[in-house]
Amino acid sequence: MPNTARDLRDITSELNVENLLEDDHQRIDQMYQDVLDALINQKPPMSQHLLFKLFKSALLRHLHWEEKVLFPMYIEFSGKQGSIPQLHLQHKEIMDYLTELEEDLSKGLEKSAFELLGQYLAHHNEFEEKSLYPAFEALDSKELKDKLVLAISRGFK
Amino acid sequence: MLLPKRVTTMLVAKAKPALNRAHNVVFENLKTSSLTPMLVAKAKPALSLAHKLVPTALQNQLVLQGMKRLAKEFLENGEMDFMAGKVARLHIKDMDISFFFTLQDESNSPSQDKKLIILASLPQPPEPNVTFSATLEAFVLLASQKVDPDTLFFNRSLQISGDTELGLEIKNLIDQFDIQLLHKPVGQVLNLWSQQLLENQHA
Repeated sequence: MPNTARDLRDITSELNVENLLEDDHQRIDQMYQDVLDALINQKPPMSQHLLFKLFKSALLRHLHWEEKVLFPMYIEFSGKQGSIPQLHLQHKEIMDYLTELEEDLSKGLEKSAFELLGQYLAHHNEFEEKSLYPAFEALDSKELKDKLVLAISRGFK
Repeated sequence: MLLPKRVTTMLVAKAKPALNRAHNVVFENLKTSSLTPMLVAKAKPALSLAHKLVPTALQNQLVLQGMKRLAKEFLENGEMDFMAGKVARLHIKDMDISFFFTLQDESNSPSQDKKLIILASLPQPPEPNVTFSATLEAFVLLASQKVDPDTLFFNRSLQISGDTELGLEIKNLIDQFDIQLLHKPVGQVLNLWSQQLLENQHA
């Protein structure tokens, strides 16, 4: 934890959007894998539901943070929309996937349906990492990075 | 009746441009013809029937020839080596038709000698490493490049299951295919068909 303004400056100068967000992607990937393992190993439905709820809540939190913090910040600093309209649509589809899975939750999670969401997330992450992160890096703004660090420390923890 | 070889050669030489002209006239007229929506509407039942009647080996050859034309440069440059020994299934879900592709795995041969093949001769369909599943219409939009694979995937018209990395690599490869490499009539049919599908969507 940085305890001086200088520490914070040192950290933010080394940070990039990719590192900041990849950590959260990895955390969600791990939670996805936990649900999948529970399905593969036929863990009790209660346990599957709980893991799914944890995964869903982490994913929604990530999407919400991107929608409310990251995207507006990019538009503010770049003055452009870039790939954000496409990312909005992808987030909507992810939420639709989650709703459909949740509707079927009482009958038990279906592995193949859950895996389709996993594929979608993997492709979405790749799209985001290819389109949005380099666009952020290209802005090369210290002010933006500082704001991001602050927002991430508030948003992801 | 047998014609002298000289006459046959001359007739064939004259027939090709004449057929090309006729073909172009037909396609130019179809672009504005009221027949096109009807033909597109009938395309799926017609293809279903053809799928039942035409021998599988011939169907596979037709698909494979088109695929090889699109993939030729990538095969030669070794950019499809990631497919070696892997099986990709293309599944037209509303017709329940599948094609299984692989790259012949000859580990000691240079990339140029690797061959894209359809696993058609096997009695049991192989277990695919990755499956691309979509409706016929979505595949037509994809093949005509009227809609890119990312858009189809992200609006859930195209589903990819199985090996994520392999799926990503194939999806990115499809995006780079040059549709101009297809036989002209095939390209024209795809163009006309996809144009009509898009018009139907916006109607």
